[in-house]
Formats: sequence, C-alpha cells, structure tokens
Amino acid sequence: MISEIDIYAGLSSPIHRWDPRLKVISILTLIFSIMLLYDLKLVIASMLFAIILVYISRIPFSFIAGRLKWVFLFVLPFLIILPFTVIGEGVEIAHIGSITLNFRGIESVEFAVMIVIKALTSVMLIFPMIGTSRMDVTIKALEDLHLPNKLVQMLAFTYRYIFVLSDEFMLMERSLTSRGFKRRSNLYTIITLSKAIATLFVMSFEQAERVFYAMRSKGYKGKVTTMHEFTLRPQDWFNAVVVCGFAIFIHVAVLYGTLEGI
Amino acid sequence: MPAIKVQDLNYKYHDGTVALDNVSFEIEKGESVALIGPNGAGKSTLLLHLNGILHSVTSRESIRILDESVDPKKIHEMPKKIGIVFQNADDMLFMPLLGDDVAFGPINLGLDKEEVQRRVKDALEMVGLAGYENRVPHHLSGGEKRRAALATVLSMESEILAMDEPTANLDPKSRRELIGILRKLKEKGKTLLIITHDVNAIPELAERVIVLNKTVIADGPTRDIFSNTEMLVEIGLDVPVITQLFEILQCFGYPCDVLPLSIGGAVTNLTETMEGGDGHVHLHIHKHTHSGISSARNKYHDHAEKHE
Repeated sequence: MISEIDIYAGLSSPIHRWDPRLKVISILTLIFSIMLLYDLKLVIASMLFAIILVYISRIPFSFIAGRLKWVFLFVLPFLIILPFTVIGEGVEIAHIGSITLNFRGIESVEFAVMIVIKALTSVMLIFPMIGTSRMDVTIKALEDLHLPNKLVQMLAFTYRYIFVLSDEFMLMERSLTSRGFKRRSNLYTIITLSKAIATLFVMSFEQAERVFYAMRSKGYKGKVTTMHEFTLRPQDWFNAVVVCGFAIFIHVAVLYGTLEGI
Repeated sequence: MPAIKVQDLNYKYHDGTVALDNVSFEIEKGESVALIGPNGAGKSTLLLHLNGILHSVTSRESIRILDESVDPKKIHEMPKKIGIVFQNADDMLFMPLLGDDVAFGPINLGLDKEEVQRRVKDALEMVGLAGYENRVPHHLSGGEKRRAALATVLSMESEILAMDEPTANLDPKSRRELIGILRKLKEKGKTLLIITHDVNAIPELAERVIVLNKTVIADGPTRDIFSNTEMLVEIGLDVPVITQLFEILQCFGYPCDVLPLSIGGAVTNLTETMEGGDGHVHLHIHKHTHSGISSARNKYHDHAEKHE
C-alpha cells in the first residue's frame, strides 16, 4: 500500500534518481528565483522550464492539474482585482455606490497574469521536488541539510500521523453513517461534522501525549536523529547546475535585457 | 539486588482520584511477573512510574530500579535499565520508517552507527520482522505493529522489559507469535513485567502474579494466585479456561488435587491420571455432580453478570 503523497515516488526518472538534498536546494532556489521575478516573458519561460521538469519527472500532468486547480481558485481573485487596483490612475468604467471601478490598463492585466503564473509555476515545481522521493527520504534530506530539528520533527510527525488521523476520521464518519447520518447542505451536517472534528482534535491531543511518553521512554531529549546515507554523483551536480543555472539566468536576463527584443 | 523495588507508592490524579495506594512489591533479576487487575486498577499508571514519566514528590523515593532511585530529570537515562512497551503500538511507532523507530532508542543512548545498525537488525530478527527496516509503520498489520513496537524497545537492550497488555486485540496467530517471542525473552533470562488481562497466556509467560487494584491485593506464584478463584472473581478477574474446565471435571469425579493452568499442564495431568488408572479416566455422575457444576458455573457466570 502506497500513501497518496508517495504515489509517484516509485517511478524511474532522472529527477527520481537525483540526490534529494541537491534536488530540494536546487528547486527551492528556482522557486524563490521565480517569485522574485517581475518580467512576464521570463515568468512564462520559467513556467515552460517547470513543465519540462515535470515532463522529465514522469509525474502525470493530470495529477498535477487536479491539484493546481485549487491553487488557481485561490489566486483567481488576483486576476480579477489587480487590473482595477494597482498601477496608475486608470479609466473609470463603472460606479457602484461609493465604489468606483477604474481600469488601470494592459500593464495591470499583465501584472495580474504574471502573479497567477508565478503562483502556478511555484506550486508546479513542488511536485518534482517532493513527489519524486518518498516523503521519509525527503525528511531525511532536510535533516541532512540541517533544517532546524524542530521543523524536521514536525514534518516527520505530520507525515506519520496524518494517515492515523484520517483513518480515525473515516471510522468516525462510518460510525455516523451506520447510525443514519447523511451529509446534506444544512446546519445539522455542519454541526455534526464540526463535533466529529473537535473530537478528533481531542483524540489527537491525547495521542500526542502518549507518543511523547513513548518518546521519553526511549531516551528522547528534544532532538530526533535518524540513520541515513546519501551519496552525491556527478549527475546530481549536473542536474543542480542546470536548474540553479536557469534560476540565475532569468535574473541575469532581466539585468541585461537580453530578451527585450523578443 | 532486586531489579524493581516499589515501596509504599502512592499516586493521585489531578482530580484527586486515588490511582495507587501504598503499592509495594519487589521483582528479582530474571524473574517474569504478570501484573493483573481490573480496568482502572492503576496498572498502566504504575508502569509509567517505573521509568519516571509519571512521578510525584513522594513517589520518587518509592521506586528503585536496579538499586537506583528514579530521577525524573534523568528519564532519558532510564532506557538503559528499563524499556516500556505501551499498549497502543501507534504510540510507539512515531517515525516515518520502522528502521528509524527501532534505531530511535539506541541513537538516543549515544551508540555509534555500527552498533545502532546491529541492534536494529537483531531486534527486528528477534520479533520476526527481519528486512522490515524500510517499511512504513502505518502500513503494517495490527500484529506486525505490536511486534514492531516490541522491537523498538528490544533494540535498547534494557535489563528490564515492562509491557502493557502485549496480547490485547490480536488475532490468534499474532497472539501466539507474540507469546512465542515473550517466552524466548523469558528463557533468555530477561526480567519481565507483563500487564495483561490474557489469563490463558499467563501460565506460559510468568511464574509469579501480582494482583493490583489500586493497591497490591495478592502477590505469589502463578498457581497459588489462580487457586484463589474467589478472590479473583471478587475483583472482576478470571482464571484460565483450562482451570475452569478441570474444576467442572472434578464434579464428574475426576481425581485432580492441583488444577492445571494451561494445555501443557492439562496434558501432563491427564497422562498421569490415566497412567495411574490403567489407561482410563473414570468420570461419573453422582448426587452432587449437578449442584457442583452449577456452583462452579455460577461462580464465573455471576462474576460476569456482576461486572457487566
């Protein structure tokens, strides 16, 4: 049985074979580089680069698209609001009560599109970064990269217990269903599910206490260390140079305006 | 030097409820002891006191493990002396991979990498999970999880092993496997303290039984404790099914002075009886048979009803 989070971790691709530490560093560098970019053409180029990475990773686009739609819904308000709010005075196009709607020109639309593409590209890059190694390997890579141990522990416990809690919730839902409960769009459903979730919180708190006891029984002093062995190959460095090189290139391109004529 | 010495241990919950009341007992090194008692008797609370996780001002001097008092500030040093296996395996398996869970204790003990790896391998082999290092704990079956939880404690190679209901909620196969592992540990001379409601497993695992109901009600050899059925029934406990069966057989005239506690004991008893009776066992109904059976059955039936 494979967890949904690790569903494509077993595929074989250059991204899967890439050392997880360099993979995380390189792709995170690329994400930050894209976030700091304010050039629509280069942002589109970055998106194409991200699509190539996803293609190489062999993670199905349909899987990624299914998750990106929620991100798109989240950033959609930017696309609607930004053309009327950010740059310049604008042209009044409507007047609703005390609110005046000013269209701020094509630059505003471009700016909004750029924000949306940046968000989608960044999230898209998370998939080759996280989805091509098993989560436990990624967590160990983060530990090896000396990410604060508290954060590593939080990630490790989240990964370990999210399934336990989802199972508990599923059992709770079955218990409700077996006693005639049916999800409907009414207040009763909301109240019942809220109570079930509240119970789950209490249960998770109690379990956290028991887990803490178990950890202390096994000599826990505040730090979790695991055994792991990572080895770097020339191919790992080559991949890192390509991805980090692109992250640097898009900013150099902005500086020198090499794409002005395109 | 006793492995565990508990002297006048008292503990109250935050709401003032008495959990442990003047609990005293000693367990020698290499002894295997079962701790039984009804629900809410304070068994798990007692267990958590043994390595200092639960403690109070008065409790600190009440417990000595391997002749040293339990210092709540040095709980992280306790795994060298006593390893505790919790009832719920999901509480014990908190790392992303089983190998990490089994290595967790040895790493905390400051052992070097090779030693940690050896212990992980040995512990997993001992519980029949060799090669499971890279398995995700969530995907193990209930029986595997219980054995894995035991491995996470065995890897610390503590001198004493204390377990909270190790055979609870297991299917018969998993239960037998776990009992087999515990028997091996017993044969190796490990000091064992096993909390259990599984009275049928106790004769195989422990030569001594402590009955706890907030305080120690009885403490003695397994056979003596299970002979006192009235006391056990009174506080809501059971005796092994084999013992109950031979009590019924006695009503049919079966000659049995000492009731067997296990299948092995029953086979020995039957063999000896038949060898002494020309290869036969003579059972018959006499005028007290039915009243005797009713009395024996009512004892356990009443007990069940009383505690429903």
